[in-house]
Amino acid sequence: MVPEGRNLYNSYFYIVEDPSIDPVKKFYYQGFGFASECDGGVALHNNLDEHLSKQQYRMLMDVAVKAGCNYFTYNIPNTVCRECGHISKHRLDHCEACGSENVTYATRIIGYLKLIDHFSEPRQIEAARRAYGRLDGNDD
Amino acid sequence: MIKYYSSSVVFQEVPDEITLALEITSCPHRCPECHSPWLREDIGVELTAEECLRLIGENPGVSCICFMGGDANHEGIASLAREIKERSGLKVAMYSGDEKMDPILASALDYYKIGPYIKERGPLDSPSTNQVFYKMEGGKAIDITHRFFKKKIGDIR
Repeated sequence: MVPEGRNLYNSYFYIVEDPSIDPVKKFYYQGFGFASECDGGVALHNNLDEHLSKQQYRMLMDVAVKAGCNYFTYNIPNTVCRECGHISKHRLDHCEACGSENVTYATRIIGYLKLIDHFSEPRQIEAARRAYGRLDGNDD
Repeated sequence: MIKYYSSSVVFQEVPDEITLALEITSCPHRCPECHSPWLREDIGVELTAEECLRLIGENPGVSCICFMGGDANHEGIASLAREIKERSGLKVAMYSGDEKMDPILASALDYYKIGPYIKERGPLDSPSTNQVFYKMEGGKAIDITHRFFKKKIGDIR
């Protein structure tokens, strides 16, 4: 069932458009307490706006163990230039190779990187609402 | 009395740590174009060691506590830092707006950012910044400000 205020079903166990839920808390929401009652579809998609350091990812693994979250992935949008085709691993508002602002973004969907503007129309609406964990703690 | 306005889990303020950042109020600085001028006011909740430990308990997984400000009471921050470290084992960081390090803080902190915000020089992640981020190790202050520039590689603007 698709809840009110949401145009599409998704498998997140937290409100995906709520920017106040930090990347650490998501492990607990998607952890043993709730996921143990499910027979599938429990993967945590931790959407981040920037990559973390190796040490930070290592610490988050410990968080995952503690929270009992045994299935998780990180999504950091890739920036794809519509002018020169350059792909950046970072989320930028312009192309880092040619400077063009004519850019689009690719993110993981069902295991594969896909351009957001190639998503189905309802999925694009949903994707635009997703809150990416702002790593500086700002909600704006 | 030290008071804090908000708390949040952050990843970019302290390299290689998962940080619980606390915005400390009563900031004595008046940096032009400050991004959070309300922190100059005497507002918020009293920050005791117990309150810090409560916040740490609410956020399992954090490895570091960071005071965003606190220049009105360096002694208070230093003694809080020591007590938190001893009782939680977490690292302690501070973002100061002062031009120079205060030895009282330098001996109590694991990470210490100094320097006021100067618009022309840019924030900590700008290569022209006046601010310096130190990692305190074995009585030495190691400048690791360059860690903040990394994400800007390829930024041609």
